[in-house]
Formats: sequence, C-alpha cells, structure tokens
Amino acid sequence: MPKIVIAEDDKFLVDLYQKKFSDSGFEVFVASNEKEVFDIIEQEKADVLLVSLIMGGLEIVKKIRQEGSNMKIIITGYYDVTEDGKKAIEAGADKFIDKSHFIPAELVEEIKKLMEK
Amino acid sequence: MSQEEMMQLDKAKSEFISIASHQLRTPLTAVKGYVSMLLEGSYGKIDPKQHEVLKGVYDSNERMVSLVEELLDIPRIELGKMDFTFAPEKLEVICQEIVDTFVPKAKDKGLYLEYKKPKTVLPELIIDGVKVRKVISDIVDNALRYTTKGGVTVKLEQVEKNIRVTISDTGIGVSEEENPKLFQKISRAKGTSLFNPDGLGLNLYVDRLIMGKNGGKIFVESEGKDRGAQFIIELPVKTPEEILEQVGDKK
Repeated sequence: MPKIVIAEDDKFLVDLYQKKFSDSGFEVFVASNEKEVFDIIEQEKADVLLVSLIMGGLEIVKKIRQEGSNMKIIITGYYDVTEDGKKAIEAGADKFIDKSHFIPAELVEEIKKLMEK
Repeated sequence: MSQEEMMQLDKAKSEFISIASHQLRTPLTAVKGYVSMLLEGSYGKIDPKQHEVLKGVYDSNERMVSLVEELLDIPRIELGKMDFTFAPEKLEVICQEIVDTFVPKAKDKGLYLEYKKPKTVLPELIIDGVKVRKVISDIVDNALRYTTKGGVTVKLEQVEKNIRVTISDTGIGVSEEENPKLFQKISRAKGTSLFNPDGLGLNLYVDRLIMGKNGGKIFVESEGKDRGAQFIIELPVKTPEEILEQVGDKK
C-alpha cells in the first residue's frame, strides 16, 4: 500500500484528501508543519508528499532533494502563484497543481500517474 | 506621491492580491471537492434529485471560481505580476484546437462554427501561447453566447506584417457608442446582461492587456446593433529580439 503524507493548510482540504486517498488505497499521514513532514517521511518511509506552498512547500522540497530523496512530491497552490510553482519544480518537485482546478479524484489520478513513472 | 511611496503601495497591492487569492479560493476549492465526492458516491448513494441539486451547487461554485479569477487577473496584470512565458507558437494549431473545443457548444445552440484556414503556411510567432489561447477562446465563447441564429466564423490569415485572427458572428453587434468602451474595465454592450448574468464584464479588458503584453492588439468592428460583429486579434510577425525589447521580458 503506497504511503502519502498530506501537508495542507486548510482543514477541510485535509479532510477531503485524507478520505479520498484512503478510499483509493493509500495509507495516509497528515502533517501540520514542516517538522512533522520530515518526521513522518523518515519514520514511515513515505512514497509521496502532497504539500501546499503556504505550508512552506518550496523550502521542504529543497531540503528533501538536498538529502538525496527521490520520493514523489506534488506542490499545490493557486495558479497566480505559478512563479513559486515553477521555482518548486526547479527545486525538485515533480508537479505543481492548481488545486482550484482539481477535484480529489483527479488529484489521486495525477499522483498514480507520477508513481508509475 | 514619492517613488518610494509608490513602491510601497505596489507591494501592498501585491500582498493583498496574494492573500485575497488564497482566502477566496480555499473555501471554493473545499466546496468543489466535497460536492464532487458526494456526486461520486463517496459518502453514500444519492438519488437523482440529490444529484441534480448537487450538480447545481457544483456548477455555481465553478462560476464563482471563474469570477474570482477574473477579478484577481486585473490587479495582477496591471501590477505586472502576471506570468508570461514566450515561446514559438503556431496560431493555426491554436485556432484549430479552439474551434474543435467549441463546436459542441455551437451545435447545442443550433449555430454554425467554421474555421477558415490560412491559404499559406504562416510564420511562427513568439507569444505566450496559453494566454493568447485564452483570449481567442474568450472571443469565440462570447461570439457564441451573444448569437442566437446564424453562427460564428474564425478566420486566420497574414495581413502584411501581421497575423490576424478574425472572429465574425451574426449576433447582437456593437453600436458606435459602445465600441470604444468595450475593452475598458467593467464594460458590457447593452442588451448583453440577459445573456451573460455570470460575468463581471472584465474579460475583454484583461484580453486587451494580454494582447498588449504579447505585442499585439484586439479591436472590434461592427455595423451596429443586431448586425453582428468582427473581433480582430492581431499579432505582429517580429523577430524574437523585437518581441523581447517590446515587452521587456527576458524569458
């Protein structure tokens, strides 16, 4: 069962993503700050990280890649911060997603596609 | 106002846009997500009436998302905060894809939507393809929205040193009085509110700004009320150096 860490700033989105990923066969872990993200990744050997820009996604991506991890990382935000989204990709994130244009089911599909690569 | 005060004001505006963008969009995203999962049956089976109601909520929410994006585009582009990525693009491909996308909508309304391709191969343009695609899509969408019989023609051609996309419709037309105001903020031709209760009337203004950033322009010609209109999008055939110099962007 693939493991995903969700680090989102809005509790309703956390609730949504947690349910959808669980229903889709993922083991889900929720992090509420950067420290928890790294603790969970280390303890659980997570496969995927879904983190919002507001939660410090940019810095988290850089640190994870500096440590040599090749786990799948998706940064979420809104399209008018695509400048940060591009920076996140340059720092090593696998994808930037504008969450206002993705329903949870589509997010799951995107992550499954990434994991197949 | 001093230069420093203006910079402070710009910075404050940018921060406001970022905060407003996030704060407005987050609850809309949550509604979209919850309703989509209800519709999928993730929280239990729903009956047809519930499906209909939830679909209404979903569609209304999507309109709200579009309105918020429309509202936030204005200050972003005016402050120079909108991203532009310039690359070689073929307008023939963009126009064909847009027409293909809108054919079903035209058919639903009983209208024709035709594409008149250029007679020769056109040069590639150095433009932000995503943004220019949005502009052409907006105009085709508007043309279909404000036309009740007949249809819309999209014509692509080179006119001297410009590539021109002409979107002609047999719709409500634009009066001489309205023409100069059409591409300004908060403008809508008379008689359109019944057809488009959803928009803020900002799209054409944003489209004009986007075309400017791409080194081009957009304007309309019409013989008047109920006599159709021709929206013309023009982009100059320039060298990459000329484009970069014009828009002051090093991307």
